[in-house]
Amino acid sequence: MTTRRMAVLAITLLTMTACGAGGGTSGSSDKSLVIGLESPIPSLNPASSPVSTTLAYAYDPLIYWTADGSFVPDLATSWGYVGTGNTTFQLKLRSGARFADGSPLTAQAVVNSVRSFLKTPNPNLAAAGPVKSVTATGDSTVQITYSSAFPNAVQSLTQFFGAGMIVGPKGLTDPASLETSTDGVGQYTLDAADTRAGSVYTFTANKKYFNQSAIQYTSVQLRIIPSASSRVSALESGQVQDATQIPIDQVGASGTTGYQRLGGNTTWELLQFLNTSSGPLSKLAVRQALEYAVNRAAIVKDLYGGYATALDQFSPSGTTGYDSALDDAYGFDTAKAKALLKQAGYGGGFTLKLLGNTTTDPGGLLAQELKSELAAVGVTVQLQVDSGQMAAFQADLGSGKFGAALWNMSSIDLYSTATQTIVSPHSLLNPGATADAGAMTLLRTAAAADGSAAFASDLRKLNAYLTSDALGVPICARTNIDLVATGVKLPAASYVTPQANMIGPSAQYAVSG
Amino acid sequence: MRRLILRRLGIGVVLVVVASAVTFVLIALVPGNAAQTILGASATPAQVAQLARELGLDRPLWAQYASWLGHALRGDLGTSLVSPQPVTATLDADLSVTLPLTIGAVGTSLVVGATLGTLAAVRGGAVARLIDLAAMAGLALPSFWIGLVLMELVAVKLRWLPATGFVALGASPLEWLRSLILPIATLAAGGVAAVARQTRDSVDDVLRQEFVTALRADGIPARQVLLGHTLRNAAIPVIAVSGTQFVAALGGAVVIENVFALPGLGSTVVQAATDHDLPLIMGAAVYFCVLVVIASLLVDVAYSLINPKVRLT
Amino acid sequence: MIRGLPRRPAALAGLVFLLAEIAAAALAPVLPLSPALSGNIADARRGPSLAHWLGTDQLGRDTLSRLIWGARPTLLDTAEAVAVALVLGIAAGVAAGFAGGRTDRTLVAVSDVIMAMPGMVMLLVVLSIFATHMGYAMVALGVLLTGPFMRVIRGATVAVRRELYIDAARMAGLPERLIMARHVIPRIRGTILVQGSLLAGMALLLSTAVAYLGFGTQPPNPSWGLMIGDGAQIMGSSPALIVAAGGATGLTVITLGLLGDGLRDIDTERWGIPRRRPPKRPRRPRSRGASVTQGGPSMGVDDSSMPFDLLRIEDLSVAYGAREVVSGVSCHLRYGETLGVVGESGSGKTAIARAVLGVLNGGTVTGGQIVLDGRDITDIAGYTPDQRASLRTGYIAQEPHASLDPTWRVGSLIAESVRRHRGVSRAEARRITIGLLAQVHLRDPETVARKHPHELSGGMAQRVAIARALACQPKLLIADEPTTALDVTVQAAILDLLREIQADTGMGILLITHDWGVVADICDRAVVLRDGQIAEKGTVTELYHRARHDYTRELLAANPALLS
Repeated sequence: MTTRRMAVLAITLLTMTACGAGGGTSGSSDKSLVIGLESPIPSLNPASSPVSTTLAYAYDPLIYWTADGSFVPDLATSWGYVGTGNTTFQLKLRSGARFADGSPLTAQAVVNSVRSFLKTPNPNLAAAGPVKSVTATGDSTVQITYSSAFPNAVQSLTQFFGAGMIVGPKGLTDPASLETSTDGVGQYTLDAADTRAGSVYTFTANKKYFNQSAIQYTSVQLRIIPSASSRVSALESGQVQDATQIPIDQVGASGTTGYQRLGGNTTWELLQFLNTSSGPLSKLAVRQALEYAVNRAAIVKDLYGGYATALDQFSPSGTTGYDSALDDAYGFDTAKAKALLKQAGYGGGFTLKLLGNTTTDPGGLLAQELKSELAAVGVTVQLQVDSGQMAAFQADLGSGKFGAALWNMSSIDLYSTATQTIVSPHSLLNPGATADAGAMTLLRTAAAADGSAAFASDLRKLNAYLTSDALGVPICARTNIDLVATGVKLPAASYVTPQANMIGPSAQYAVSG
Repeated sequence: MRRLILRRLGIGVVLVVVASAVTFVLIALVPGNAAQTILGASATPAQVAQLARELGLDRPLWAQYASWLGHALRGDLGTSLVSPQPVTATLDADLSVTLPLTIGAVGTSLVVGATLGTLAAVRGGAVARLIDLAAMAGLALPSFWIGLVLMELVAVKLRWLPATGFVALGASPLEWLRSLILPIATLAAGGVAAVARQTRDSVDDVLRQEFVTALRADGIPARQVLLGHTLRNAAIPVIAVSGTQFVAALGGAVVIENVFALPGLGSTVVQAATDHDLPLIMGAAVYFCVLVVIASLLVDVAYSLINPKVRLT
Repeated sequence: MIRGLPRRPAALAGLVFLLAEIAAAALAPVLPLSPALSGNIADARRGPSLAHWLGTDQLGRDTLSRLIWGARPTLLDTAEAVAVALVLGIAAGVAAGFAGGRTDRTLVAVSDVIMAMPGMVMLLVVLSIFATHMGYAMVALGVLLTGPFMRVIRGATVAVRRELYIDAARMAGLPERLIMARHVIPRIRGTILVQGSLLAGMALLLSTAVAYLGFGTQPPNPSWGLMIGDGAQIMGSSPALIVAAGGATGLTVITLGLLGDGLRDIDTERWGIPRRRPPKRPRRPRSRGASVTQGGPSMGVDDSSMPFDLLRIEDLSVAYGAREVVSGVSCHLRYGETLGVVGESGSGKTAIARAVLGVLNGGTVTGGQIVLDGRDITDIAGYTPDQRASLRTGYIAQEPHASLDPTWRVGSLIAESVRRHRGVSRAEARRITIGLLAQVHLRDPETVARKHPHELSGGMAQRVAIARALACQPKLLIADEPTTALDVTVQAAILDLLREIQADTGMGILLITHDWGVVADICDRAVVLRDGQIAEKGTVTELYHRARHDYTRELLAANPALLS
């Protein structure tokens, strides 16, 4: 009798497993895409979410920024600065677009949404610039005035920074409801029934969207899978078709060779000097010596398996401020490095306290590699690699104990990089709050630049300055890697798209397959 | 019985308060605060300080705790600082993941473990040695190691079960069950081993008792002796141990939820600790404590039911 | 204590393995190991080979080398946590168990709080504070583990405290702390060692889990938890790494457990009853068809066994392993008669009873014959329950409460036996049960039937045991020291009861005892056992009045009250 019971149990189990084998819940004519994400989505409200591109499925931005750097109309059809000085910006809105509940996209709705964004604490506030006022100057025209010159108005209103992701009136009156339903002009809307905060988010195609041909899937599902190996397992077992943010050491494992990799550099590594006002690093010769000591080619090949490009300047190819003349500004030359050190009076070397972290440098491998390379020229590195706890890293940065920190940048132009990180006296990566006078002057000029050509040229000058002054050692530009199932085509990635654009105004900009 | 329950609940309240106080103090020692997390790396110190003031993070410690406690006693555990969700809503949703996982694991441990332990005690010989060996492995290997291996073999290689994720019971009972099988099996592995060992020792002990000899001498059939007498007596220490099993399972769930990407209490706690989301961590601590208190209470009641010597009128 | 280890290969192997592991970890800087922090990517993800004994990881780093280097933080963290738990647990546990009273209550309450705290939550919170300083987290882990550990130590201390020699030390006026240090702690050393090794195993597993989650030692420095994480990533193509890392952890925990078990066994032996060496005595020649008594001067008058004996034991030998406890004993019990088997403890009298019942747990009949009611039951130990039941032998043990299942109501226990032997319905069995309880003179049998054994006094419980023995309407009742555990006043009543039942039913009684008063009270004949052999036999009267054997005389002399 016991044997029979066991047989019944076994058959039941087998039936259950057979029923669901292969994952995926798509019907015959539906096309769905499942994406495995690493980090949770703290909020579905564009005004509070630090990663606004995740919400792009449901909220179209005013201006769409493509991977190749061009700006494409989305909710706004035309835009531009008014006058000179980059302090007044104007947009004309698309007609006929509607929010998810059917109410029309009007100038006033846009104004209300932007104002609401500016009032809500979130990490993207700084990128919105010094906004003085937002007003509706017509039924479908909106004007933004800034209290000081702000050249990045266009960028700030794209899908990357939240301000331009317009929330409808219903959502604005009840922000709490935005966690369980979406109220934007978007290709998809949130399917609350199939959504579980912190774990699974399902978006279904929006029949009311103004450009139906842009929608590639009947549904897109985001799954939060914090562990990288679990994400890869989910990909290999067919549960997801795109496993994002896979560390370099998992790519190429024979189990995953059947999958595509997202290419194109999206981020670059910088060894930033934290205090250049005293100590060995206050000497230009010392800083330049370290530039020569880093073997960028070896790092690219050994550490990043070739998924990187050596970088000697502060603005890599693909960003505004890049100057091809600055390629190989330095190079790998240990003899020269030692000579420079000797010239500066540090022939016997010195000790450098270096702070790394595993969020931007998984495994602390880059930090470790730098340590051995600097050791070869006599610089003893005392290395501390912080875990992914941002607070601890920030605390250590501000402690004044460290001479240099390893960080990575993903801004699309040197202006953002400089203001948000290296050069600004208030930024995190400048805990000494030292303001390099030369850099600040060049920065202010760029801020007031008239037109994009002038802006780019000014940034190139800033780039040359930073590079020759060696306020840090750029190392290489690289990419975050997504592992994707065959058949799925990912759009290109670039510095513009540190988090890949998964959807866009037309098929060429979106993921498909 | 009523007195026991009331006493336990009273102690439970004290425990929750003390534990929450300790947690609060620990968190308060952490450098950085939620304001920094919300505003991100590019915010100025002034902006961070401003937000901290708005969130009340600059008040003295005891004031913050008192305010939290006051709200908590009224059932209001506040709102998460990082995502605009009420803490109770988030944690209640988490419970629907962690509870089936933990209870399933403990239940599996008890049933499978007791069966194996009894087999080992009664059959002896090679069977017992095999079970001993399996128990040793189950106890000695880290649970997340077992989970990772199972995931690779069953989900990736054989594709019998999903690798990650959780499906709500309401959405699809079958998928719900399938999404929980591997995590429960992993979490139960250590428990099965522990219960098997305990049961085996316990049954061995009971078999040596005089009353078992008396029953055998009387010619009572072997199955009747085992099922009617031996197991009832052997169950007593095993029940006593099941309380610790539950607590251990709660702790193990934290790691298992990470491996299998289950959105439960454990995942929430890990994320909240990273974000310094004070109300959420405190809420989670309270929930854990309450769960432990309830589990202990249930175990005590079960114990007194099964052990006539302890039965309270 | 270490000297005991060679006799325990498992524990010894465990100790050797652990020491080797610790030595390797400590000596890592001087051992000729491949670099642990860097490797050649061209060599990545290899399996075991001559160059890399355990293979390489995804960056070409040697796994064995990383395991050994990784053992340092892993084992150190574990040791820290265990040390904290040991110090706090022993101090608190001994103090609580020894002092009792308010100290005890307070400490137990504190440990309750610790055990109720969500350990992993606390640990994560501490780790989020001291993310890379595992030291603090391990202290926190130690504190968390103290709870259950302290309770076990306390339990052991309480048990030791009750032992007589502690009271003696107290009375001798020794200060408490001295008592605790000199007497209590050495006595509970075994418990400490076992629990300590269990603790170490738990701490190791917990710290590995925490490392896996990304706290503690940061890459590229190795730790076993991190290596399991690394191994998981390449498991599909190269399982060597995850197997090695998981194996190292698992083996360490296992060896800790084995070591703990071994040390506990050694310690139990030290403090418990020492193993007796089997006595060497010449084997006596066995004679067939023994109606001639052995071992002592014959008493002559009619003690020869007859074919119409209820129970005939001929030349019986019983051994427990290599130790012979009964050697060539012969005796017989007639229908309706009470035979006493008398001797001091260790004489083998209980073994004879158990041999007749077929419940020699661990012993075997090595020679001789047992015949019950004309049937050879020497092989009774192998009988099926049905066969046993058909023999209708009743059994009463020494401890009445021990012989009754404590989780059953006594009425149900009796009814179970009744149904077994008489095949009647539940209702009928219940009726018979009440009747039996009345037969053993229990007042208000319905109420008694609903009680559990622990709710009855010793005397009542023994009556219940007798009632159950009667359920099978026994031909033979074996009573093993039935009154020894009872009050003097109750003893007489029980013996009266037995006599009454015998008169009513005509059953034979085989009575095991060391008490001559009991023999005088109820036995017709008796055999005296010494060291497993018969020293004397005969009717009770004969034994009393014509005691020839020195031994018997000694026994009698030890019971001055009987010389009346």
